[in-house]
Amino acid sequence: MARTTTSSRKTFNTVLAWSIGLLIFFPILWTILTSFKSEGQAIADPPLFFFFDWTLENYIAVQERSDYFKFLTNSLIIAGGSTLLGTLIAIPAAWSMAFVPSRRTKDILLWMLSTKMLPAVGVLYPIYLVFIELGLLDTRTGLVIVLMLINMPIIVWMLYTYFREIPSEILEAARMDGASLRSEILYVLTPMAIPGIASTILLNFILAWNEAFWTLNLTAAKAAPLTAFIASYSSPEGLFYAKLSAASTMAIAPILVLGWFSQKQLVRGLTFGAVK
Amino acid sequence: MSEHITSALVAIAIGVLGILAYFWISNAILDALIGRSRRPNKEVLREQIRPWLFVGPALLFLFVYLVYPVFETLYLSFKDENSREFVGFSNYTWLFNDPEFHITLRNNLMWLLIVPTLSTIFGLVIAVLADRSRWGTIAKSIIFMPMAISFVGASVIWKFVYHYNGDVANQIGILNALVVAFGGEAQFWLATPLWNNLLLMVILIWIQTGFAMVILGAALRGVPEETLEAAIIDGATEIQIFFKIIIPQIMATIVVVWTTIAILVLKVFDIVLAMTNGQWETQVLANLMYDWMFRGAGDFGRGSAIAIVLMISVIPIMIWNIRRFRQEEMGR
Repeated sequence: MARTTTSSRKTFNTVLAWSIGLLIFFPILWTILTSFKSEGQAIADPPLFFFFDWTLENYIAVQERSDYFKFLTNSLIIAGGSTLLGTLIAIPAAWSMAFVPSRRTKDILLWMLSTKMLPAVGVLYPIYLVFIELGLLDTRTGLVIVLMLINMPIIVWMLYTYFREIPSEILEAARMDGASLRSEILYVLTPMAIPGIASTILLNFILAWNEAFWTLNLTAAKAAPLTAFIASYSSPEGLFYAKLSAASTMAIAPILVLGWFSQKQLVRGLTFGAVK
Repeated sequence: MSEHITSALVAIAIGVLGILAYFWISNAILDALIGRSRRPNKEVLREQIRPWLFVGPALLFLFVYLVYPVFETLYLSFKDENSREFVGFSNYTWLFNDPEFHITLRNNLMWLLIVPTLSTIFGLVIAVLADRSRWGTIAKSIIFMPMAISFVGASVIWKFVYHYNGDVANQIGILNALVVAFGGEAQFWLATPLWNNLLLMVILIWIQTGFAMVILGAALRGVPEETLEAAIIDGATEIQIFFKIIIPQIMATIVVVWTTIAILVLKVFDIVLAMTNGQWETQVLANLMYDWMFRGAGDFGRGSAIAIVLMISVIPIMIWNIRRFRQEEMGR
């Protein structure tokens, strides 16, 4: 397609594509810029772009008001823990479905796919009741379990599609050489599967980090992660503009950095491997 | 605080050890029970059971999380507000006569028609543009950025855009600032019915356009050059090439994008919760259910009935999607 494009046409396209890009990026950029302004400058008319007195006072104020680092720790534990446990359960499942498929394998995979499509609201209340019963409400352990469950189908699917790309002849060769099942997994499969596993972990971490439906419903003060932190700031009334911007920037910054490097994984995971 | 962190980490470590122990022990038991004998029939049996040991935990967890709660919700939707007595279909008859539910259905339908379609179209246009421009990859990464942000985070950012200061000249919300600059009158847009629905949809379109763009961009690069060259030789215009050569070849991918976003859209909750909380005729099913269950009302029968309606409305798209996946798998 590139060959059919003339040079002046290309310049036009470039300008247009970048304008759209900046337009889409603008709300994020504006939020970040505002977070470094003083409250007075944040509402200045005409608006100030880059030439204002940069300050960190909003960040300090937000941390003092609502202890950002507590939410950050919770997010890290919940996203990290659920990803770790989910991956450990999913690797053997995906391994056996990719390399030892049975007649039921396709059905199991499609069933898993369908569970991910069902709206979470349908299962919220019964799980809520179970959580009350087990004393898991507003605990990190409870959220780790729930997020592990809701992302399990995606993890299994992702790993399955990655594992299937590994040529099975290599495994057969290892088996011929008398490798046991354990050493087959540890020394042959794992090194070849690590890129796929890493991608799956990255994707799952982002999904767990951004999960709001379950975290908002099953936590209160103690175990609330960053999604709850932002939600608590979601009414600007009575709050200050620059501080609100600082709070949002703090909440999205970690994931923006991670997201930049994980386009491929996000796309592959969200389409269940349909798009590689 | 640090004590809590330690206990959470210990819990995770126990979980990890538990999972590893399960796989180890269950395999050892299988080997011990059926023996390490090389007799063919025993070996066959053993290797038929082993995969189930591996898949088992994942299936069991999904069953606990999904199958049981769905039936529980269905059951509760036939009971009264405290889940004590059976009330038959009265939750459903109430629901279908409730004016707010009608608005909610209308909104969900609007979301379903508008958001996936516009996201797909914008994604396609941007993918075509970026492919033919300089530094297109970086431009695409920037456009993809909103995709990484949680819906709640995105909502807070867009609250700034839609912000309304009251009846003053100095509007700090970007939308109102633009409206005033063009001689219009600032408004509390989020409280203006029908428009406000579109404004909420813009947020999801903003997030999903990057997703559509990446997928469609990959599909565009897969279109064989020869088909385009043949069309050019035959004197086709660029528009004709786009609609008659390129689009038919990437149609399957367009369907993937549309359905993936459609399923997401039916579940939309966070954006509405954070932006308007369903006020001013912006209610959607998931948030309506949330209202009836947890906020104020506390009617679990009605809430469950709404949840069931939502699940049933997802099923057609779900079946369609699964059928497509099955065909794809068969084709391999």
